[in-house]
Amino acid sequence: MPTPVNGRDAGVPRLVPTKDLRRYAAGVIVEVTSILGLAALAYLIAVAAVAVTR
Amino acid sequence: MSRKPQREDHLVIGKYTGKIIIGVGVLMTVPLVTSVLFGEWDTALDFVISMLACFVFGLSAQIICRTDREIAWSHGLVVASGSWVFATLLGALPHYLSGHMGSYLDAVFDAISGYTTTGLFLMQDLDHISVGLNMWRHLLTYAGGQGIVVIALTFLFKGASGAYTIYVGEGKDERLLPNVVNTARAIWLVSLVYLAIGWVSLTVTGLSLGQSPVTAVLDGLWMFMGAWSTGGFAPSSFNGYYYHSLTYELIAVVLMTAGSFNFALHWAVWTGNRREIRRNIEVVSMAVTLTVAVLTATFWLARAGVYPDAVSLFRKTFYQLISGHTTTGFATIFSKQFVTQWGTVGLFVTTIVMMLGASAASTAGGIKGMRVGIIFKSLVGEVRRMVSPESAVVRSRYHHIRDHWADDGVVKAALIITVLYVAMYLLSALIGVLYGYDLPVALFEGVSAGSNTGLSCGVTDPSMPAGLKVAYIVFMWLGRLEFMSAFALVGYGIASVRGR
Repeated sequence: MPTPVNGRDAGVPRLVPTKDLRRYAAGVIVEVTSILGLAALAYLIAVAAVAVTR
Repeated sequence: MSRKPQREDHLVIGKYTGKIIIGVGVLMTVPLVTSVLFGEWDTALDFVISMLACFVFGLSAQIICRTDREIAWSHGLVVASGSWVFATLLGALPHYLSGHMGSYLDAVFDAISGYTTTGLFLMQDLDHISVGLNMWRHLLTYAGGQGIVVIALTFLFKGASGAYTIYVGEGKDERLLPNVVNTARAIWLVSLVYLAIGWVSLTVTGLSLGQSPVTAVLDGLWMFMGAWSTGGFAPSSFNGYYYHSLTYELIAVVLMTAGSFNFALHWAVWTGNRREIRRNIEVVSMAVTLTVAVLTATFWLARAGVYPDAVSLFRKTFYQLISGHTTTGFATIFSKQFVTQWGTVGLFVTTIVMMLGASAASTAGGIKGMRVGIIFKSLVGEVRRMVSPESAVVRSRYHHIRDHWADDGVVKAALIITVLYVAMYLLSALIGVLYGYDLPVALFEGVSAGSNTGLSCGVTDPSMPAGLKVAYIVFMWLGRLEFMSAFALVGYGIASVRGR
């Protein structure tokens, strides 16, 4: 089975395309969740900042 | 002494530039159809005239510059930078003909701001422009984010072997698939999937906020284009502030951040390599610098008591900072509030994140996380070398899709571009100061233009000095093309005159 990253020539990474749409959907979910995780961290920082400065 | 370009060189460059300009003319079909659908006949006529200008230019170039010669590396760089100049001059026609611009210079400013995904604008009475023109503004920024060359590669080149050089000249150097045209199509796949998700989410949110169906659909599409392309154009002069909605803001945050990711990262995660998002040097670099920036600005603004509660503090601070870091330029505060409310530290932190920018081979601008990460790793490597025994071999490594060694050549390339960006930022500040603006304000606005961000603290305005408009136009162009292809165009011009 090919690995997701299999190209090494000329230093350029080449990735294997897939027709499995569930993989694409999972990729989008991973990206969106990671970004919202950053937002959640920023919210916690805001809560801490308000608690500390008042 | 450089080699003087031969007649064949001019023909190759002219031929490919003509192809790309024809692509710009074809792109104008979208706002033209929009204008017709909404019965905006004056606007439709503006687009017919502009399309004709593009086709006359492009076809003339094709006819005059007929050649079978393959495009070479140096040609590609000149075509990329040159076609951006012509695409801007011709793409500004609909703006100018609309009557909403103070001058043709202002129209060129807005057009290049769109193409370079900057988002600064000089358009007057933005809230009352036609639907067709609004469509063109946002389409420009979407096309610029994708890359005009990527669009031309997708539709016009059909597997040209030398097309890769033009693609690289536009500031994208990732080959996701062996064929560059397939790479361009993979970039489209990622963008179109996010278009579907983003457009639907924003439209539904707009409807829930009480917008009419047509307005919700149009605003959803345009806000998607502004966010995904990290362009920052919005249909309202109030920008993101217009919607007053946490949901709308969070969707925009997701879209602008996803838009600022390297297309190679998207492709890796989408094809099953999910750990890449935690390991990639650009993501790690941005997560660290963003967290430091959010910590600093949040505590500063909390201490100053600018916002009444944690939710307001989070919404304002995080939104402006991630907008700046991804070089989008969406704002939920007014321009002047950066100066009057955010103060020195707020301005400084926002300026720094704009300078850094987001990922290479994305729609974003700035120095880029890849270079910041490589330089940091190299610095750590130098320190390790100093404290290691003389016989020890110390090499730095970074991860982008796979592990790479941060060899001297890689570090040197990262440093050269970084130094050029910093020099441009300082020059932009100096020019602003010479025109009478305070240093923090001049630096903020100059960095915003040069990093293709588009946040403004009030300098960019139709009444600003013409010299400053020209300077920002040049900085937007240089920043988007990452200098090298712009330098190649200048070198080509000099060699044409003085070469042997």
